[in-house]
Amino acid sequence: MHEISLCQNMRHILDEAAQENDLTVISKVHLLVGDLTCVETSALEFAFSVCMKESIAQEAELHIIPVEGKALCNQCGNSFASKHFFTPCPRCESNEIQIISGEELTIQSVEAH
Amino acid sequence: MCTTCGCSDHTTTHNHDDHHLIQVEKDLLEKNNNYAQMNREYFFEHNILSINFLSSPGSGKTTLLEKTIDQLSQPLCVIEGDQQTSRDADRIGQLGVPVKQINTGKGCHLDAHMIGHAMEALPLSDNGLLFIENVGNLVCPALFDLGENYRVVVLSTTEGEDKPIKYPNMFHSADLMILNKSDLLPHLEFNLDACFDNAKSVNPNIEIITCSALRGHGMQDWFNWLEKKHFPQKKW
Ligand SMILES: Nc1nc2c(ncn2[C@@H]2O[C@H](COP(=O)(O)OP(=O)(O)OP(=O)(O)O)[C@@H](O)[C@H]2O)c(=O)[nH]1
Ligand SMILES: [Mg+2]
Ligand SMILES: [Zn+2]
Repeated sequence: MHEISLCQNMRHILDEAAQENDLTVISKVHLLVGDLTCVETSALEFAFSVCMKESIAQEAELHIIPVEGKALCNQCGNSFASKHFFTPCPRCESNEIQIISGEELTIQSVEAH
Repeated sequence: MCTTCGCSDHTTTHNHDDHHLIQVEKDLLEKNNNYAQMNREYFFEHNILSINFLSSPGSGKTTLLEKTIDQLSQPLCVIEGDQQTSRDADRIGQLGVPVKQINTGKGCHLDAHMIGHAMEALPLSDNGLLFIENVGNLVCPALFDLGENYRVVVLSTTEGEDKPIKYPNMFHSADLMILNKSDLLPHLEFNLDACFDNAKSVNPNIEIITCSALRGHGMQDWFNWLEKKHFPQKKW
């Protein structure tokens, strides 16, 4: 359950953000989650509800913003959507690809009252 | 642009009637990555070769370490990660190697902070090696950079040739795949070529060594790999 550790980290980051910005209650968290990460959305939501107990974000809604996996072909320079690490380039069929997005696990913003 | 309301206010904090939107832009793994960077710098300054061994439970990581320790003349320390027990650390300790067991309890992986503390407890030598045996799990440990120089994923022949594509994050992030338990191949229907193709498809740069830690076949390739990576230590 790495989702639990991720949410514990999230709690620290939210605490810090609250201190820096003088927030008392966080009502919503906008989180970028790349499609290529090994993070399970339902597990993350569950972990969020557990880990935020008695924190500034205990009532907060978790808004998960999925980020599409994208790869760049090192052979022909084509960039293309990829649901896996192992999608060969659709243009030249090369496996020499580089992931350019889809690995995000980033708190983009929070809403506070 | 504000993702909530679509307004074009670019300041970090702004009001919409009753709420503020505060840009945070922080990676959930940032703390871990910072600790990993500290470990990495330590390894570099002391010319230590550090290796993170990952696999599902029982692939033969501890056996591989035991056989490797027998061969090495350089100073070596070991960190053992398991949910419970110090059985693996005891096995390594019996060989006279300084070892620190980390029990992760409910956790399913080692993180860079735990490694930093374990390093404090070990007599790490300049120009030596540090082997880290991660918790047996092909999913979670992939996310957590420990600051290691190399990631080695150990796959055993009894697990099937499809594991690299079933657990792509792990194989994607590894530098070397060791296919262990090659002695069992005659008893299995394991397609070596398909396994290598699967590994290469998720990670075209992955190196592959086939061996039997228990019986010794192929182990020289692994020792050569280690030798090559250790001298001279490069900046990574
Ligand atoms: N046939 C065969 N068995 C092996 C080989 N390497 C390890 N084993 C056996 O596999 C079992 C598990 O080995 P370990 O070295 O404890 O595996 P591990 O990956 O450290 O296990 P965990 O730490 O519990 O995840 C033991 O019974 C070993 O004897 C091998 O090359 N061939
Ligand atoms: Mg072990
Ligand atoms: Zn291409």
